[in-house]
Amino acid sequence: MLFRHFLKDWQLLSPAGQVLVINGFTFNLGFYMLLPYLADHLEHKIGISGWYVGVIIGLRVLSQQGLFLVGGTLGDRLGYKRLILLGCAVRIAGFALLGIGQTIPILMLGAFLSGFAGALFTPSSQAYLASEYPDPHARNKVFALQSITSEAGMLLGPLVGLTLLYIDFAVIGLVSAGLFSLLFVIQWRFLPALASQKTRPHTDQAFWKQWGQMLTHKTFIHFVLCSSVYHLLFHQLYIAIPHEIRVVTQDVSIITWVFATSSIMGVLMQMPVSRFVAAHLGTARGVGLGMSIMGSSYLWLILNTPWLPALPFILCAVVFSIGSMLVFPLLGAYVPKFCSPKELGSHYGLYSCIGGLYAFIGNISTGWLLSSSTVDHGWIWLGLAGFGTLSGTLLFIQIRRHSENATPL
Amino acid sequence: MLFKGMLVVWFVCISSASFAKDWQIQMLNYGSGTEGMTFEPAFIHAQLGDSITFVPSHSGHNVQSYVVPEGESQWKSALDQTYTIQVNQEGVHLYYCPPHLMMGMVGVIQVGDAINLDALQQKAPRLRSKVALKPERMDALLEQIVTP
Repeated sequence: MLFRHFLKDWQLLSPAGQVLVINGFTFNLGFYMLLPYLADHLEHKIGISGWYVGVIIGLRVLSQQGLFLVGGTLGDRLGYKRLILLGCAVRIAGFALLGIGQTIPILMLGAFLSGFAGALFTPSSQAYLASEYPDPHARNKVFALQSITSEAGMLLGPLVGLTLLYIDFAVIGLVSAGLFSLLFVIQWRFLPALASQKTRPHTDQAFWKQWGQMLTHKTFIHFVLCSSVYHLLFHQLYIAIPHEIRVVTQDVSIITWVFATSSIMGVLMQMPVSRFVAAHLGTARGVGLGMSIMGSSYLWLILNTPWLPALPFILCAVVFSIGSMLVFPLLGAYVPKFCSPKELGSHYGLYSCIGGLYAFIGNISTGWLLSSSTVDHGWIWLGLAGFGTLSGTLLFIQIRRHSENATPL
Repeated sequence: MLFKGMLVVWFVCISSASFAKDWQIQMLNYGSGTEGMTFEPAFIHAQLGDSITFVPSHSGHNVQSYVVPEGESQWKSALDQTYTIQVNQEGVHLYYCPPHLMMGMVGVIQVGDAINLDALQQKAPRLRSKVALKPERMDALLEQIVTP
């Protein structure tokens, strides 16, 4: 039933849409095949000390999150297809170096290139998809489809990586680099250059003026500042939840169950949830409710169930996924409302960049609070619930006001 | 004469030390019953001079006093560290685990007679208001205090 719906929606996509939706799967498959095992490989196989491991991992994150804006702006100027191709090529080099590198300089170069590649192709991919589907309903649907394939990649990636790890970590690096090579060929062969970028003169405005305009665009910045709470909440799945599972249950296998629950729900339920949003909620209520549900999901962690220790974490993952399914495709599809089609890349770039900053600040703060001996952990979960509800309410008001007045943003 | 006096003092010291008891309180994520985030035992009736050691059997815990008898200093342990206090004043200690107060991780030590009940009754409700899960666990502990 679900697969039939997916197939029906898939057949309605344009050839470019199909390539971009497949990209969601393959990007994540290649990424999650390698990344979860990288820190362990660096520390225990290569023998790099913990501090350098932190620098290498941090460099990857920084070069990706910090350069999203540069990648998006380049996409607006050079064309989204070119940037997607360039991103794939850079990631091939990055992952290959991470796989076979044995020295710190080589591994740092690999980490930088892997992150920078993401900064090159992610905003351009989103901007291309948004340009391909100007109708808001169709755009919501195609972003939801991409979310499904991304979740599927996130689910399969670590499993494939774990299997390959039995051979050697270098094989993981080379196979993921191979996947990006395949992606490069698919983009080059089957992704047409965006029609509007073929004919339209590229923007002649200096990039710093464009960035200045974006940063002073109050309604866009309001949207970005509120919607970036999504990233803050999402990344707690990778920091706060594993930490709490380790401390409370001492059973790390529960971490796998939490990720699997979240990904399986994303794959199976995304389209029914998106259809429900389109039929009954609309964008404003979908976003408001989704963010509030995501934040409130952390309240389950106040519960302690000695008779089934995994229960609070699984409940948290289930509720979190419902919230995420409501809100994620809607946020991505809403960005184009703030800009002209030729500026989509920069706007997606800034949107992702601020999201990365929120994730970074959120991870640092939560890590510090969880290791404090004076802060009640309950306040951390209440704080996350508060952030989710506050941002959800502000986004609901902004989007509803806009749709009621239909004023330009 | 002086020798006899010293012998008596030495004997008193030795005998009081031999009668002082060492208590151990485990800090647990899952207790022996159905309770989560708990001190075990959560209530003890100690005597003057007894030592009480808090053992972080599970990680992520520390302990901090909330109410102490008059003349005792407030006390607090570091995260995941074993911590020992010696009780030298009569009265009730009410303490908690700061990271897990909301989950009701609270304990009581009664030393001799509960002579600071007024102060306890005044301050305990404030601590109770911060407990989100099963605050009745704290009520049950306070009910175990033996009143003169």
